[in-house]
Amino acid sequence: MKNTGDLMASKTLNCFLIDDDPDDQEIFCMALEDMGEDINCRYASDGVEALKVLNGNTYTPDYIFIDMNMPRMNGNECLQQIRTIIRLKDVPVYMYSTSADPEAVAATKELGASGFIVKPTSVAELTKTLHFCLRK
Amino acid sequence: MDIDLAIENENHLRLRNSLHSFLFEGKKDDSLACRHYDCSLGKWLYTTGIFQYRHIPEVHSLERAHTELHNRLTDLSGEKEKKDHEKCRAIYREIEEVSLRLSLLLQQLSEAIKSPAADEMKQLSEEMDDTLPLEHQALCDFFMQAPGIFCVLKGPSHVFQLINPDYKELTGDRELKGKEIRAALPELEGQGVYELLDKVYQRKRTYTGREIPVYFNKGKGIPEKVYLNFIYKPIINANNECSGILVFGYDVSEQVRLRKRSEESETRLKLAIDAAETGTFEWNMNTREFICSEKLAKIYGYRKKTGISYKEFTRAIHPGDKKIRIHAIEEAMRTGIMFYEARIIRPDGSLRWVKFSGRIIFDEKRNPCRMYGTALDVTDQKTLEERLEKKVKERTRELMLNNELLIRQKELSESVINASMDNIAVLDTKLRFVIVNERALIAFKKKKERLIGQPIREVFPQAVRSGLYRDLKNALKGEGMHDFNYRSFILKGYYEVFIFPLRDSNDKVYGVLLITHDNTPVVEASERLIAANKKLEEKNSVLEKNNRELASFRYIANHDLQEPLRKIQVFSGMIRKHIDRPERIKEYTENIIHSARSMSDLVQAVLSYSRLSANEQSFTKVSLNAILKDVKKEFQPLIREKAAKVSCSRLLSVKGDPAQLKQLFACLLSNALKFSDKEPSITILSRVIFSDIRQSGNSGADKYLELVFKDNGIGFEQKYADQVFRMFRRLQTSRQYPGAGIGLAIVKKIVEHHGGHIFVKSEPHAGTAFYIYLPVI
Repeated sequence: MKNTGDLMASKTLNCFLIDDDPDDQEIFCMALEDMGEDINCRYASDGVEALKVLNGNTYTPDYIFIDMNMPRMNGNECLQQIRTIIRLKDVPVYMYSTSADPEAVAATKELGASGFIVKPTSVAELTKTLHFCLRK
Repeated sequence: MDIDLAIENENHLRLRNSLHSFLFEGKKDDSLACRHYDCSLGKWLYTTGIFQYRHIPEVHSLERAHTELHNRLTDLSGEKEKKDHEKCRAIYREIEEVSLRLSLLLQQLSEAIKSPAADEMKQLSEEMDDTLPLEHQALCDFFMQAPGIFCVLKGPSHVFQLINPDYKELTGDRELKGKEIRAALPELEGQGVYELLDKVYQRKRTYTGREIPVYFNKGKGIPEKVYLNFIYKPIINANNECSGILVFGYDVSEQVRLRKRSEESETRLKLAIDAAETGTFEWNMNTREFICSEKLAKIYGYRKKTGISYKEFTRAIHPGDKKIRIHAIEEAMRTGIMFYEARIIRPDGSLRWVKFSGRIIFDEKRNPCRMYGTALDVTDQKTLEERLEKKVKERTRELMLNNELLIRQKELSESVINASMDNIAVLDTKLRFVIVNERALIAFKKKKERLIGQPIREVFPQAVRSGLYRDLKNALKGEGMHDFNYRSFILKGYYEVFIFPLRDSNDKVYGVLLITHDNTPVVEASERLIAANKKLEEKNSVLEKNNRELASFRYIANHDLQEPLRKIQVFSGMIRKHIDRPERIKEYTENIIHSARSMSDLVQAVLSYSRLSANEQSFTKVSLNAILKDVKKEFQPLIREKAAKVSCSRLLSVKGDPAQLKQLFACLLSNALKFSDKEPSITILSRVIFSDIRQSGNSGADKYLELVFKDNGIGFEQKYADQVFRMFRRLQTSRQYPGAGIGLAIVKKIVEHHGGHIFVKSEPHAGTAFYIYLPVI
């Protein structure tokens, strides 16, 4: 917690959540709020929209969270595209999905994902997980 | 010109003697080269004789004989030069005859010319020609001096008229004159003389005899044999009647005896030479005297230097071979030559094979008098022969056995060939049938006689078309063939065919072996198998599809059903947390209700998707017009709400599942109404096209109903065209355009169940058009 505290103290964290589900966006937001830290969160409804933002060269998030199941462009495709952006090569990208099929998880690792978060059944659970992710 | 005919006679006879010396001793005599008109007789004949005595027939005969004699002599000189001995001998014989004739004619002419002094001569001349002037004394002298025997026999009973001294001596100095020959010389009875004379007298034909043995009883009690060369010449008078016979001849006994002796000694010599390695024996059959060589005794197993006795000689013959000996001797009695092989038993009891050969010498009466013979021990040879014979017998037996074996083998191979379940035929180099087994006869439906020896292309012209003929021809060139799946035009079916060239020991192809094995059941079975396999594959692909669907269901269970459930959990937790804040509770409750509804929708959709089956048995003729009408009615409230315009052309009927087709129309209409940002305008078009569209379905039909669902909705980028048909894929967020994301997956599945095909064309904000092709049956 100490380390986290140091980290958090240093600057405002920018998180970018790419998820088409408004409910999930709300739940994610609630979890971040519960962390009590200075965290700025931005949302995109799908991969196409997210890439438009990221390719704009003005926004560099500290963490990116991508929902696996989205219309138009799914999570993996989106991850692949992000990993081609050199500016973002050191930015941790977490995949975010309801189901965690081991094969699917392994595939995201291959494509350059930093971790895989299973969508929680409670906000507290997600808060705990996000604590773990941001501390890294 | 005067002439002494007797001298002439002697001269001419001497001529013959000179000739003999010339021929056999090489002494040349000029008189031989003398022409007939140059010699003294010739000169007389052509100056005096022929003219003076032209009334005497003999003078003309004489002239002819004389000319012939000289001509023959000239011929002979020529042939002698040419060294043609055979011809010389022939001419010499002729000359002998001619000179005899000439001699006779001279005597006759002399008689005719000289008036007979003696009574007998007078009598004779009277009968011959009374007018002939005879010089009796000269004639008598001639007779007396004539070399050779001479007599004249008169009348049919051959009465001696004239006998010269030689003749008298020959007959033993008996009184013959005036006696009939039968009375005068009774010993001639049975010798054929009387009969010969009768013949000459009756037929008026001259008879010439050579080396004829005649037995005369010269008073010593035993008839004496003389060999005579003679002429019996009939005396023909002017009336052409025979009045008597002139007998003229020579005693050639000495000559004959000499020759016979030499022949005999030759035989002995020959036997002596033959006897170098053989035993010899001589058996006088009259005296029973038996002489044999030491060698013979040795062959017989005796050590006696004196040879063995006749008794020992005959007794030693093996009893089993005695018959052979007797037979051989009987044969020798007829032919003079003896030959036989017999076993002899030696005193020590050992057996020897002996080859006997010999000759029997006959006396004048053809009675066997002596036997000269040789005996050769041929035991070794015989043993060899026996061994050879045994070998031959063995070999023959072997060959016969082999032959039998071959026959049995042939029978065996024939029965094997016939027992074969395959069709077997052998063809020769002209591709004619040589062997056809029974199976093949049945398969060919032909009688054996119709095939054997017949060329295949004549019996089965279809063999040329099928290529079999070419394959057989190739086999004759040494190229065999094996085809597992040969389509036979002759037998109609599928056959495994072997074609082998048959080669002899020199590797030369002498025929073709054709074996065909009926593969039709196998091929049919394999075709059935292929069909079954295909069915299985189809089943498999259905199963695979089912599997994929199952995997989808797993995904649905894991993800899509989990998601609303998870949200319900999250928001329930939030309600518990904020139980004291009613405004929050309301919001969370709304979320929970929304999630539960979407979960319910999802379950419904999944159920309806899983209920879709490709059961063609439920297919009936479906009027798409009626279906559209139904669906429009169902969606009427929504259509009115959205102020949508739905226009459609007249639709055709198809064969299909009415419920599924209704679902199809409902989905498409619902989508068109849902994904719109203005007043929806929906157009449904239909037409029949002829095309082979198999990208998805495999109905194989070429007539399709094209259905186009066109809207003016939000559309999407064409690159997402494939995604829209996948389950749970959404191009829009569910909040914006709610739905399970399963509708188009259902549509696609229904189209495929109906053997059809679907694709989509879309453009963002311009609208979307679904193209559906259903086979028209």
